[in-house]
Amino acid sequence: MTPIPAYIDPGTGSLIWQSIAAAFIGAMFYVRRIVAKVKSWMGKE
Amino acid sequence: MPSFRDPAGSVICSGSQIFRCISGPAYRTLEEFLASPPARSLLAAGKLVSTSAAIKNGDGRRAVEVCSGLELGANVQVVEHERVWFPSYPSEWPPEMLFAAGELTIEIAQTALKQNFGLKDATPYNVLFRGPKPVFIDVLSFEKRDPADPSWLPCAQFERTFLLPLLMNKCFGMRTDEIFLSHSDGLTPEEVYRYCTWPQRVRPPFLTAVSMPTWLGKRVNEGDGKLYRPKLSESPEKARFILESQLRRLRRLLHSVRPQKADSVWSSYTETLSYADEEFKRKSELVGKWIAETVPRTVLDLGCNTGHFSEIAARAGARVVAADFDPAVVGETYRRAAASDLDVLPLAINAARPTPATGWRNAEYPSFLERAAGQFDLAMMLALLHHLLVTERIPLPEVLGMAADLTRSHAIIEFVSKEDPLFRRLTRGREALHESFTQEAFEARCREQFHLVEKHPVKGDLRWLYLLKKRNS
Repeated sequence: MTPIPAYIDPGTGSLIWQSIAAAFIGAMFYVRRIVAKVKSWMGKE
Repeated sequence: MPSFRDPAGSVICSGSQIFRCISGPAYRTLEEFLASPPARSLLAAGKLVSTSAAIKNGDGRRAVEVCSGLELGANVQVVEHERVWFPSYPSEWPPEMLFAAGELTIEIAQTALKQNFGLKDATPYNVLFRGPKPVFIDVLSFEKRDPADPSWLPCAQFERTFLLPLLMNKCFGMRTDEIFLSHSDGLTPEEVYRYCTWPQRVRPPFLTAVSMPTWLGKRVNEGDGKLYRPKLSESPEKARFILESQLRRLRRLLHSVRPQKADSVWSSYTETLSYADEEFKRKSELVGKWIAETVPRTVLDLGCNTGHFSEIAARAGARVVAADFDPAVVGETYRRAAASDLDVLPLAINAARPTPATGWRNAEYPSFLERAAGQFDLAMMLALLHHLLVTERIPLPEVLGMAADLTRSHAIIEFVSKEDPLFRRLTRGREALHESFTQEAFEARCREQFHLVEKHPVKGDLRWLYLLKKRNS
C-alpha cells in the first residue's frame, strides 16, 4: 500500500495526548481479552 | 478556482456542474469505497454526496485540462458530483449546524472504519447542507488505512474546527463567524487556553480538549519529526479497538459542547414586539396567499427571525434560504426546520454586511451575494427595512437595489412607517434623519426597480406588505 501523504496539520499536543490515550485504551484491550477468556473458562467449568 | 489543498485531486465548478479530477491511485481507492456496503448505506441515506462514474469527454475533458497544472499524475480520472443547492460555509452556520456537521463527520468516520477506510481530514468544509440536513461532500477524504495503525491524524483538526469552536461558543459566547472568518482551520488548544480561568482549565471538557494538549505541546521538539511517524499496534484487532474508542471519545466530547437553545433580544421578537395575534395571523395568510399565487421554486427570506415565513414558503413547496444576523434565532430556525423536515437552509448572515469572499486570493469561498445572484424567484424582507434604514444607516434606494439584485422575479417587502413604535425605538432621538421617509416616497423608490403588484395594511397604517415584481423579469 502506498500511503497518501497527510496534508493537514496533525497538531502537536493533541497528537501526544491521543498517543497517551491510545496507550491506556490499548491496555484496556488486553484487560478485556483476559476477562473474556476467564469468563469463557468459567462457562466451560 | 479549483480546490488545491488535497494532493490527490481537485474540485472544479463548470457552469452548473461539479467535477472532481482525481489521481489514478486515489481514484481506485474511491471506487473501492463507493462500492462497499457502508458507502452505499450512506448514499441511500443522503449523507454522502452522490458521485457518477468517470467521464472523459465534453465538460469532463475540460475539467481535466483545468486540472493539468495541478500535478495529479498521468492517469487522471474525472467524476461528476450532484450539485448541492446553495453552498454555505461554517462562518454562516449557527452552532447547531456546526454540531450537526461534526456529528455527521464522526458517523462517517465510524462507518468507513467498518470497511477498513479512514478519513484523512475532518473539517466542516467537508460538509454542506441540503435544507437542514448535512451531507458529506469530500469523497476524496476516504483513504485505505493501515490495519495496524491505531491513530487518527485528523483528530486534532476535528478538535480545532468542531469541538473548540463549539466550546468557545457555549462557554464564552463566541460566534461562528468570529471564529471561521479569521481562522479557517478553527481554534488551536493554545488559543482557547488563554480564555480559560484556572478552575476551567482543570475540569472537563477543558482538561482533555484544551489544557492537556496545550501543556504537552510545550514539551516537545517538533522539528525531529519522530512524533508524527505512525506507531503501529501489535495486532489489527487492537488498533481497531483503540480507533473505535477514540472516535467514541470524540463523539462524547462533541455532545458535551452541544449548543443549548439560546435566547437573544430577537428570539421572541415575532411573538412579543410588533404584532397582536390577529394581525400576525393576517400577515401570515397574506404572505401564504402571495406565495401560492407567484409559485416561487426558490425563496430567500432575509431577516427570517425564527423562520415562521420561511416555513410557510417551504410548506408551499419552495426551497428556502432563511437568513438573519442573529445566530440565536437562526439556531431556532434550524431546530424547527430539522424537526419538521422542511427544505429550509438557515444561515446567520447580516444583510448589511453579508459574508465576504474569503480564502486564497479571495477566490476559494465566494461571497454570499455572489452565491445568491440569480438563485431566487422570490426575496422576502419582512420587518427588516427599519433595521437597515435606521440601525445600519443604509439609504432606501440601496436597500431596494439589493432586493432587486437578490430576486429573479418577485419580492415581498414590509413597509414600516416612521411612526411605528419599533421604528421610533430604533431612531433614539434621530427622527429628523428620517423625516422624508413616507409611504409615498417608499412607493416611488420601489417603482424604480419593481412594478407594484399589490399592497395591504397589516398593522393599522403603521405597517404594509408589498408584493413587487422586478422590472424586466
